[in-house]
Amino acid sequence: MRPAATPTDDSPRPLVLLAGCLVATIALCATVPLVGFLVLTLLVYAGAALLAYVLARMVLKFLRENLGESGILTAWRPGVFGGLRVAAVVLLLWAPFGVASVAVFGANGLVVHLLGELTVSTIDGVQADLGEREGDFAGWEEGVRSGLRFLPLPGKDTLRDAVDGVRPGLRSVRGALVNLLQLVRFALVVESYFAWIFLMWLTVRSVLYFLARTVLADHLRALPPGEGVDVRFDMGLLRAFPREAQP
Amino acid sequence: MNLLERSTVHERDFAIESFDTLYARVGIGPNRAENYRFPQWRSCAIRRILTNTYHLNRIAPAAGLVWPVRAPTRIVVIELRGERLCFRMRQLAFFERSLRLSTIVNAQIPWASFESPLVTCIEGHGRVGLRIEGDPLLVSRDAGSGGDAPHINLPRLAAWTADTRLEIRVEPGYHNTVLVAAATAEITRAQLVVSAREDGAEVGSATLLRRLARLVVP
Repeated sequence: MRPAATPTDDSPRPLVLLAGCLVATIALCATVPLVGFLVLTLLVYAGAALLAYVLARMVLKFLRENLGESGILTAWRPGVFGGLRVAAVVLLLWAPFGVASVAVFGANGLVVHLLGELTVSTIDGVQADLGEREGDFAGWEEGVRSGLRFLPLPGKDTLRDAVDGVRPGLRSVRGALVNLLQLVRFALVVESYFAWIFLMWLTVRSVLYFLARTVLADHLRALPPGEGVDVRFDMGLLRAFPREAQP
Repeated sequence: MNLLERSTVHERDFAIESFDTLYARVGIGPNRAENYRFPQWRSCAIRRILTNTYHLNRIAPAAGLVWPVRAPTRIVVIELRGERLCFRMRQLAFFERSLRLSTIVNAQIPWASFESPLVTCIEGHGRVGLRIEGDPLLVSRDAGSGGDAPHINLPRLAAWTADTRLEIRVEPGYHNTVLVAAATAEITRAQLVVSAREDGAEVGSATLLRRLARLVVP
């Protein structure tokens, strides 16, 4: 007998919440930029830590599914000529990555530079209107900025560069605009790193696909004609299939 | 009644009034105003965005409502009763709202050599519809079955149960490795495997240039 169905939730509430967080972040960066940028940076670090954890689990899963008595990696012994040939193809696969990286960093760098120039000229204009003292930082904000020096994580220069241009003392539409420009600069810098990681992932992926096919072909060559390699699907997202149930 | 018996291939329009509320791929389905929803917005998010299935059309079945089928496309409707079905997202037509989408990662080298390690699954109690170009082949095989096991070209594979065991075979030769020659899967055990019987567009029709491009971006 068919059990009572549990309808899946299709409410748009989570997406509305996501959009709300985005708007709140933009508002925070425009009005209290140092706090906003710190929150963003910490979120980036938290994302990187989560990614590193998932990648580590994936590597363990890969080893568990391919090593062991019936594991395909256990018996793989590449020859010298075969190894050189594989290395040549792998080098060839890295070439598009180099070109694409230069293009991404070049384009992003240009936009970040132009936005920086625009921000500086806008700040100069605002300060000329209001006088130097209005643009000064308050004591606690100075403290946050100098505290960045001790941030023991990569990317602090990017963050410092972003907060260097903000003017939290100015409570005006133009001040908020300056901060938003800095937010866009910050987002572009972070985006260029993400784009670089994405390109790196694409390349690693193509290399891994190629290496996997090479290992498989070598493995099948060593088997009697007509024999294949087993594949199963009773695993999870991060959980490998149970070892005792291996075929 | 096993899963194979609970699967139906539709060549013509079929009534969906007995179905539960459906989530259908946008642009296909009954001739009605569309009602976009984001069911299970955290499940298979990237794959769904890439295959334009992140937002789906919610259909409330009513008397006289039919699902249109146009040749050469066929719709395979599979009624799941707790089984987990792996499938290709691009072949999804619809699923009932009681079913759950999920992802498994298959990092086994024979599979990851040719296919994405991220495999989309659907499970629960309800019906799922898959679009197949041409006549589909539905196969079920027990572990102890004698005779020749059926072979399926990997790119033609559309859906398979999570208990499926495949034996991957490839033609030897370095050129096949570089040009990503399609592998064959021998089904050694499966409650159900659905594949396209003949589909030249899916297998082997890519030009040499596209095959080399696949080496860089698989």
